[in-house]
Amino acid sequence: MLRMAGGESGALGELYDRYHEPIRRFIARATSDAEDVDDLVHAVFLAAATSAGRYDGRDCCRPWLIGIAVQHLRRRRQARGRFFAVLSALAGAPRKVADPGPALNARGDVERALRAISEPKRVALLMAEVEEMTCPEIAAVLGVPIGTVWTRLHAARRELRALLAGAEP
Amino acid sequence: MMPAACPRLFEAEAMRDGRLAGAERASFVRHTTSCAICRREVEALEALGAALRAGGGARADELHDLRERTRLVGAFDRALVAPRRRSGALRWAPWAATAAAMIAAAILVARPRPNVERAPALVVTAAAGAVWSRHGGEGRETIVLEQGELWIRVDHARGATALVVALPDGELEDTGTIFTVSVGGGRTTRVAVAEGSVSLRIRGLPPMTVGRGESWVPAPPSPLPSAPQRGRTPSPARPAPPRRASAAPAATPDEADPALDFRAAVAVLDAGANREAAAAFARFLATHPGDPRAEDAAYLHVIALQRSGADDEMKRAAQEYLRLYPAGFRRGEVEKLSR
Repeated sequence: MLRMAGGESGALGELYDRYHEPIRRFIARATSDAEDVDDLVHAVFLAAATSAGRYDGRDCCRPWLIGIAVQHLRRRRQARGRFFAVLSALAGAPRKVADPGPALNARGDVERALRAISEPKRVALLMAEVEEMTCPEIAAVLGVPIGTVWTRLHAARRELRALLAGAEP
Repeated sequence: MMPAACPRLFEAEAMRDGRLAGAERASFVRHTTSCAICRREVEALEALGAALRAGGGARADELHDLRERTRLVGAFDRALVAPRRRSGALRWAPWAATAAAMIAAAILVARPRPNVERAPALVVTAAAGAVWSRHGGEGRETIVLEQGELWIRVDHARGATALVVALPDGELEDTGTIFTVSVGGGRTTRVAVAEGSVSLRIRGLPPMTVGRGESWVPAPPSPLPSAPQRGRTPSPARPAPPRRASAAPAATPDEADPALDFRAAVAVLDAGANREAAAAFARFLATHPGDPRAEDAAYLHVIALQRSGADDEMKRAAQEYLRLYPAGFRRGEVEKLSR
């Protein structure tokens, strides 16, 4: 991180080599394999490079990079939300909430079930279960109270299990 | 028969999320050894987590990774990190330089008008209260002194061009010198030469050369004629010879007719008889077209006509001046009058 803060592009290359795979996987799952996954990964590592001087010094960079990724996901979601709100306003009708049922054509497909739940819940669940971040860490990264994290995790698990079981969540 | 639900079931998720700690956690762990519902819940949550950890999108191919890596490092080098590559003091160097430049500019703006203007070959030092300006020209530098005293050093060996000091009542031309010139009350009051020499041309007086160690001061003013009389030329003031003449005084009265005619015309102009002065200068130009004072006479002819309100004549005279003296000393001023 110190080398990167000093402007060594080689250090950024090393960081990318070490962490790009889990970061890319996290972003891909959080966004349901959106088309802009590569751009988001790119943005995360560039943001890491520009803020390397503020790195908190922990041994593993992965939670820190996940935190940056979550910030980018949130901005992306907010931008898309505004976009859809404008579209809905133009259409004169509220946006219809997608029914997750049809997406689950194959039972037991965790990935498909994961895509069926909302992004905030999905992100919280991925941070907790895949990235093994603690709830206080997740709350800090998301900028929400820890109770909100617990609530999102509980709802995410309930919905995911229901989807995997083939029942309505 | 197992109960349909256990009241402690929620603790399975609480334990997983870290909400149970210490004695509460230990109590629930013991509970799971005896409660199959809670044990299965713990196992189900763990299985869900394992499924999530085992999942994940398809891994990007190696070529894709390499391409993205190159794109990332390139962007890092190009856009985002380039300004941050400076470290420590260097990062602040541009700001420090900018601040220093602003402070220097503020000092230059805030301080009084400098009394000393320096050039490689020409140094002008103005006494306090001096009113003067400097104008560059083609092959000639002109200093206009309206009031006060200037100390001037001209070093022709260092490439100085010809220097003329325009005075309210004449002009001074340098020939490689250090000299002091003073003006007061609209007239030249003193010229002192430390090195070299100057050519001094004072209105109504013949040209003079003031050499090293010499000084010139005007003679006490002689009363001007109360009103010019047609056909009669007033007596011009006689020049004062340079004092401390280590060499023979260079300035001597010029009794030749062109000088008399010129001085007479100037005296009429000084007296405010502008129409008569214009006629006198026109006669001078017609009679002595090759005289060294012809350019001055042409200029004063224009001035006399302008003062008299004869605009058309003045413009014609100005155009004639420009035709005869395209690089004349007063070209700029005459050009304005000719339009």
